[in-house]
Amino acid sequence: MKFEAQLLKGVAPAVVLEILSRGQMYGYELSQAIEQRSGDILTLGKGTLYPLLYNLEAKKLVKGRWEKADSGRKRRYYSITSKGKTQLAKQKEQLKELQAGLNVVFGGAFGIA
Amino acid sequence: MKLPMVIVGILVGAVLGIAGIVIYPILGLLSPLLGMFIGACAGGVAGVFTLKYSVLSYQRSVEAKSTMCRLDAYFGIFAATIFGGILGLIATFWVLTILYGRMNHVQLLTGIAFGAFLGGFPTVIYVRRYIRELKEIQYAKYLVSLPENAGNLIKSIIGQMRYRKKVQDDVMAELAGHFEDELRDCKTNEEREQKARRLIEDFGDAKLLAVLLRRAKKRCRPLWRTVVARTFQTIGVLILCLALYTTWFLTGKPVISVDYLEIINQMSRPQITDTDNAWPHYEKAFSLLVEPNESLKRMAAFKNYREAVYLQFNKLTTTEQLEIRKWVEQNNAAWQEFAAGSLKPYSYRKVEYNEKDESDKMLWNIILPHLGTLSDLAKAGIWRCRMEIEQGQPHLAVADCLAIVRAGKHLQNNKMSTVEQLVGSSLAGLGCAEIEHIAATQDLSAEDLEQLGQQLTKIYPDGYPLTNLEGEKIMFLDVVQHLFTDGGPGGGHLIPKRFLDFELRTSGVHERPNEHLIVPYTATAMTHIRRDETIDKANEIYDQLNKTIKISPYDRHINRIKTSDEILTELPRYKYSLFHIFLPGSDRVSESELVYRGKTQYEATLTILALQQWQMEKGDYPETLNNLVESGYLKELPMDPFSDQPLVYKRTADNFTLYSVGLNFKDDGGQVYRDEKGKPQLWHDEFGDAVFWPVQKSEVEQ
Repeated sequence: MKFEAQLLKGVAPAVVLEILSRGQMYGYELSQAIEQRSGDILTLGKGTLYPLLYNLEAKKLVKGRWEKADSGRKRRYYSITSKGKTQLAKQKEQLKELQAGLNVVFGGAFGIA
Repeated sequence: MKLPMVIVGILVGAVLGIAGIVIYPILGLLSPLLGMFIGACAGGVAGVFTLKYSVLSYQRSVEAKSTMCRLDAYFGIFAATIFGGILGLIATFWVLTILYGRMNHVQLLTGIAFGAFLGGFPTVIYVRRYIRELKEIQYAKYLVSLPENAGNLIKSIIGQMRYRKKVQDDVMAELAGHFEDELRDCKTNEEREQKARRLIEDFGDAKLLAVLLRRAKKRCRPLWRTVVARTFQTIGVLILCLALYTTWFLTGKPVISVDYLEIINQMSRPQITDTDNAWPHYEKAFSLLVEPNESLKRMAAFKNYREAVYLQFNKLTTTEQLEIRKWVEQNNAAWQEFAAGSLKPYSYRKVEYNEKDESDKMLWNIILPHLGTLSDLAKAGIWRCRMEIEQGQPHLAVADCLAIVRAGKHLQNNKMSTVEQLVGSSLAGLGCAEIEHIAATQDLSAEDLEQLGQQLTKIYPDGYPLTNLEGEKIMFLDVVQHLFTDGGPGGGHLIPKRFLDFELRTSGVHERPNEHLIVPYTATAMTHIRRDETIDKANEIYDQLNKTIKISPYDRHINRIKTSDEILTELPRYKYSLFHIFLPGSDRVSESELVYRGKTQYEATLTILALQQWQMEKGDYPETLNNLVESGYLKELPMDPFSDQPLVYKRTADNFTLYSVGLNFKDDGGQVYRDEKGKPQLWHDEFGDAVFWPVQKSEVEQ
């Protein structure tokens, strides 16, 4: 599903951090993982993915590392840092509260699992 | 690297530079500029050729993976830039300097900037082209397996990123890898093309992505790199600002809005008719004056005519008498005019500029050649006086001395120039000293003495004038309007070139200044206080000096009132350079010791005449000077400005001593300082009193 850009903008970093918290990945692998683990609901544009990764790297929430792939080409793998984990926990908390608030506003439309 | 190409580049640059001079024999600004331009272009082109070979070397080094080849290539690029471009320019400049001589800084800077810009332009174009070719080789490594449209997108993104090569390589590797992973499962080329198109759409606008990637990568760089980059950017901006500021600074022009010459002329002009003006008589006297010849100028008696040993004309050698007599007689006509002028109530001359060049028309540049001539006329008068005494004509001698004192007064009343005031005070002192000598050696009657005293008193009806600094202050304001711009921050800034010219002129240098001096003078001008503050400071200092002048030297000594030099030491030179050039000459004036000496001499002369008159009428000298005042021989007690007490008067058996405590402010009991040859010095900084009576002779004479 294609979401409004502004709607997804705020949650994209949290989504990427959550996916990376489960294991290191390279760019293509990460974009596939986002689609699969959101049940094809969330897709991150390729033009958004790499700038987002580099920004997270600049904030030291993730770190990148070059590795040689089987084909002989080098790949850049990204993994979450401890600072990233702390940030992720904080954002998850905020998203829960947001969800609760939206539930109240929209009369329980979002349901709490 | 082809080393000979570097040398070829320099030679080509120099040859084409010389060709520029030969082909365009237009003198002035154009030829050096054109020569510079051609030389710089040639240098740049030579640099490009060298660079081309260096780039190929680099290519080969990449293929050969050889560090030595790479270092060789880097050195080649460096050498191309330095030797090909810049040295080609320097070679041309050197040839031009030999052929044209020194160029002024405007020609030099313009030529270099223009030539370097146009010379560097083709270099930049070719360098960019070769760097692009290099990149193509590199891109091939990553993009060879991708469809062309995908490769073009990535190249476009990387090209527009404009960042460090290493970062661009990394991003290219990631993007290319992403495309490869996305297209891995495609079985046919058509499928690959289609999927690539969809992916390209998904990536979005290449320019926007390039901007986002660049921004994000910049945030990733380590702090030290950010600091270094920002520091260089800041330095670059500061250099640019400094260059613009310096250009604005150097190109400032003064605005001459106030005619200070007219103000000075109006200030000096008294409200009396022109027939009472002494100046036309003095001008005529100057034209009639016969200057002393070399033999006379070398004569000791003529040079040192004020010394006691030469006071009596008949004590000179025959040769000396003959030569001096001859000169005095040659100047009879000049002296008559001088004496006639001295009888007028005032002397006013309209000041004019000597300079033809408008930019040099400053009050500061006005020369006063008449002062030397007036001094020669006064000298002629003194010798006339001594000759008249020898001939038994003391009344004529007295009249001549009074003429000198009156002429001195005319100069003292000049408000424009403190130099004229000082010369006037000196002339008046000369006349008074000669009168004292006459009173000491001639039999003047009591009536003669009384008349002489009255005539002397009439010369200064309002008292002996002290120095007036109004004219000097106006001169300073005129200097400010010639050396500063008008308007802008602080009211205007000091113009470096005009400041340089002014200081050189003040030092007596009239040849063309070394253009390299403009650099330190620009720095000085930039740190100097601005126009408004300069004027305020000048007003403050001159107000202070005018107050100081009215205070006696003794009072200043006791209360440690600051001299001009002390005021200047409190003003840092880098901010107040103009004051350090302008003020020192007026140190003596502000202290006005010379003027107070003249005042003391004048009052001592009046006192001596009164004492002599008393003695003649009453048979003895009075007990105290108060007796003279009480009996009407003197209007008031003569004050010693070096003690703030009356002059010291000591009556002896048949004579008296009259003296000032002198410049050391100490009463030395009426002992005058004598040098190693026994000659008395009336005013010595450290020793002795200024003894006016008895008239001091050398030890040899005594």
